[in-house]
Order: sequence, then C-alpha cells, then structure tokens
Amino acid sequence: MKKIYVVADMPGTSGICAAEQCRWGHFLWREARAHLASDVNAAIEGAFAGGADEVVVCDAHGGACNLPMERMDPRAMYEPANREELLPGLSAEFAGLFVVGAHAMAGAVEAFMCHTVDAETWFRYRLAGRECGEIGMWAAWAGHHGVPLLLVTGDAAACREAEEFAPGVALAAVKEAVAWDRARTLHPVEGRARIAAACRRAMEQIGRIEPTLIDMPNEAELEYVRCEFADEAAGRQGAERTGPRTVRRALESIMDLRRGF
Amino acid sequence: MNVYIMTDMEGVSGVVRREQVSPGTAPWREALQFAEADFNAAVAGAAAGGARRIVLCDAHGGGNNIRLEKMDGRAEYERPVGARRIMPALEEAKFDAGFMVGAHAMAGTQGAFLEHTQSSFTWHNYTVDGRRWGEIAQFAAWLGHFDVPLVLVTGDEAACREAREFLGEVETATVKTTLCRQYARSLPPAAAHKAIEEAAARALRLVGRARPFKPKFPADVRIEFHRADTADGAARRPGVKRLDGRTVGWTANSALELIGG
Repeated sequence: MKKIYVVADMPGTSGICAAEQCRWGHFLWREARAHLASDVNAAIEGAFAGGADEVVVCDAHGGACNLPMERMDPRAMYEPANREELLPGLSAEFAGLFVVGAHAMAGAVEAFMCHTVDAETWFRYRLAGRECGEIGMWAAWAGHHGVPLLLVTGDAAACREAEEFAPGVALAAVKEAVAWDRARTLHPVEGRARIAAACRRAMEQIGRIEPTLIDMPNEAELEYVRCEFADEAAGRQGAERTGPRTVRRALESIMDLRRGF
Repeated sequence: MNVYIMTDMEGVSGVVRREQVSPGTAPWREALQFAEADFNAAVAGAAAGGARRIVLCDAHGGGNNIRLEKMDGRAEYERPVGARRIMPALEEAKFDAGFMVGAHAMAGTQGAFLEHTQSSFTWHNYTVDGRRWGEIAQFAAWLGHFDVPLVLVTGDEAACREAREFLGEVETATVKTTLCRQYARSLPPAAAHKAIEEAAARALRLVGRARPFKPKFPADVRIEFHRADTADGAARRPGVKRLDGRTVGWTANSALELIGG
C-alpha cells in the first residue's frame, strides 16, 4: 500500500507569471487556478503511474480553496491546510511527500514571490538554528512521521532550496524569477511534462531516501519585520525575546514549529 | 545666531499611539496641537538662547503637520523639497545650530516608539560603512554637510539615547518612555514643553564647542528591505546595486547622497 501526500502551493505553479495571480479572490487568481489544477494533476498522475494506491492533496496556499475541485483528478482526496497544523492528514502510513508549486524562503535571491508563511510580517525563520522556509517546514513535518520528501516543483530558487534541505529529492523547475512579482514560466503543457518526469524519479526513490529528521527538543526563532510583532509574540507563554524583532520558542515536537509565532 | 529646526511627529509629547502620526486621519488632526506645541517650545527656547533667525522644517511625511496660524511668529516655515533638498534654507544661508524635535529611533530598536528608518513598511536595516543608522544620524550628517552641528534632540527615551550615541555632545529632552512599539507613556504636555524649552536654550551654549557630524565619504550605504520586491524597485535607480535578495547599496560621495540613492 503506497500512499502519497501532495501539498500544493500556488506561486511555483507553471503558467503563473505574476504575483497578482496568487492573490485570493483577484480576477487573475480565478483564471490561474486552472494552472494550479494542471500541475497538481500532473503530480497525482505521476504518483499513480509510479505505483501509488492512494493520493491526498493538501491545498496550502493562503486560506486554501484554491484548487478547483471540478478540475482535480478524481482519484485523489482533497484537504485544506489547517493554519498551524501544516499537513493535517499526513501520517506514518504515507510513503512520501510531494511539494507542488513551491516558492523559496523569505530573503532568497532571484526567487519568485519568496516568503516564509507571511510575506507581510515574517522576515527570517530559523528551525533548529538553520534558516528555513516552507519547503523545510513541510519536510520536517513529514519527517516527524517518518515520511520522506520525494518531490519538489516550483521556480528555480525553490528547487535550489529543496536540494539543499533534502539532497537527492526529485525536482522539476518550471519557472524562474524575473523580479519578486514576475516570473518567466514554462508553458503549462511543458510544466506538466517536467512534473510527470520528476514524479517517475520520485517514486523510484521510495525506500532509498531518508525522511528529514529534526532532533527534539529543539528551538525555533522568528525575526519579524517590525518590533510590534515581536512585542506581541514575546508576550505569549513560552516565548523568549532574543532581539528587538526576534522571538525564540522551545520546541518539544516538530508539530509546534509554527505555534506561538 | 541662526537656528534650523528639523521636526518629526513620532517623538512629540502627547503622541502615544500609532494612529496619531497617520496624516489625514482624525487622531492625527487632534495630535497636530501636540506637535505644534513641542515645536513652539523649541522655538521659544532658541529665542531665549539668543537665536535671531529660526527656520522650522515640517518633515513628517513630507510636511503638512503644522498649521501656520499656530506657529510661533518668530520662526519661518519650510518643508523638504524631495529627497535631495531636505533642508532647503541651509543651501542659502549660514546656520549655527540644528535641532531635531519629535525624533524617533532607528528601525530595529527595542522599546522605541514607532521606530523606523524612512519607512516602517519596507526598510529593515539601513547601514553606512557597516554601522546601523537611523534618521537622527542622517539629519545630523545632512546638517554636518553645511557645517551645522546638531545640538538638540527631543523625542522618546530611545531616540535621545541614539542621539547621544552618535553625537556625544548634544542636549536631549526626553518627553516619553515607550511601553511597546505602538504605545508610549508621555510626560504631561506642559512638563514636556518646559523640558524642551530649557534644553533648547542650553543647547545653544554648545555652539562653538559641538562639532558638526561629518562621517567619512565616500561611504558605503546599504538598505536591507523587508522584502525583495522593494529591492527590485530600488535596484532600478541609477547607481544602485543589488547586493542580495533584499539588500541594495550605493556609494555616497556626500551626506546629500545618503538618503536618495
């Protein structure tokens, strides 16, 4: 029984070339949802073609509800991300994690829409002393369940970051940044083909690639863009103010990696 | 003796929450009286200290924070003309002393009311030859370019501390303490005005002794922004180089090139 968990974000989707297309409710976002479905379906198809028996897709961009259900491959299950519970349905039963449509962490170089969790308030996030973005958070979350990160698709910067965080992970770079809010993208048809090819490599890695493990207990630290956010976060139970704009929290479990920030 | 008074609003007594410095809002309109009273106290102190000509520069958000009918009649009024002419009167006449009334601390200062450097929404760190600077040092250097020493700084505790760190020989009047970035505890306005007026008169005794603030030029100036999209825009300006995902830099040949890039 091979189950694959697919977490889908929007900025790293092929066919999306401008930040406005990722703004929930924007008329360009409405159209761009088709591109998201196209890339996600390529991953679903790739997982089944590689021997998966079950696929669950987690819609993780913004407040979820980006993936148009009527366009999604009907063999997959759908779930929304749930705030601090990053990948709600992920469990030890899964054979691997796919990340589709990824973007690089806040502060990355030549990276389309790079940010970590919240582009308006999060400046730099460190997990276990190491700078980490959403790809790393998802890999660590899955690793806690013993599930390895098998595939990352997104812009070139997201793929570079994934390779650094999880060496050997299968990659499909479908675009590159022109500016923070502009990207040069493959045509979605070509994007799908690259994702399908990467999925084949990813499925062959099952059993050969290790999950990302973060020793526990550990700590997470967040630098905010302004002091006011640190003022507030530092007032919460368990927080330690480590700088004017920085708050550190002890982690008992990787499940807490975002809690309290 | 000619005195040039630079003004800002964050460090004015009676201004204790963020809304009061947002131009055009009702709280801002009510706070204008506090600003005018602090500025007038500085004018009165300058006059008592022997100033003959006093020019007051209305600089918060580019101007509009002083109702001229409320301004002490001994002062002339002006405002910055773009980033290249921040203190226009200095270009035409010799001034003996500079004041900075209503100052705030630099971005990234803990326990400082509405700390920021130029923009709360986009600037994270601003450095000159590797040292973090805020607006107090910028204005001191601008005055220094015209051989005018900055001899008085009024504002919250953090702003006054920052002024002493950069300038050494400077009079300060602390009119409030800061509880967190968004809220301050202010002296009663009458007490604040008395403190400002007395400090202003004392400050003019530093004339002849206090040295103009003259950093070394050419200087390496860098801005680290909150996010890469702002760096994308800044890097398009002539002479400005992209240094990493969020940082741009340029070489300033004089203090007049410290801000605009």
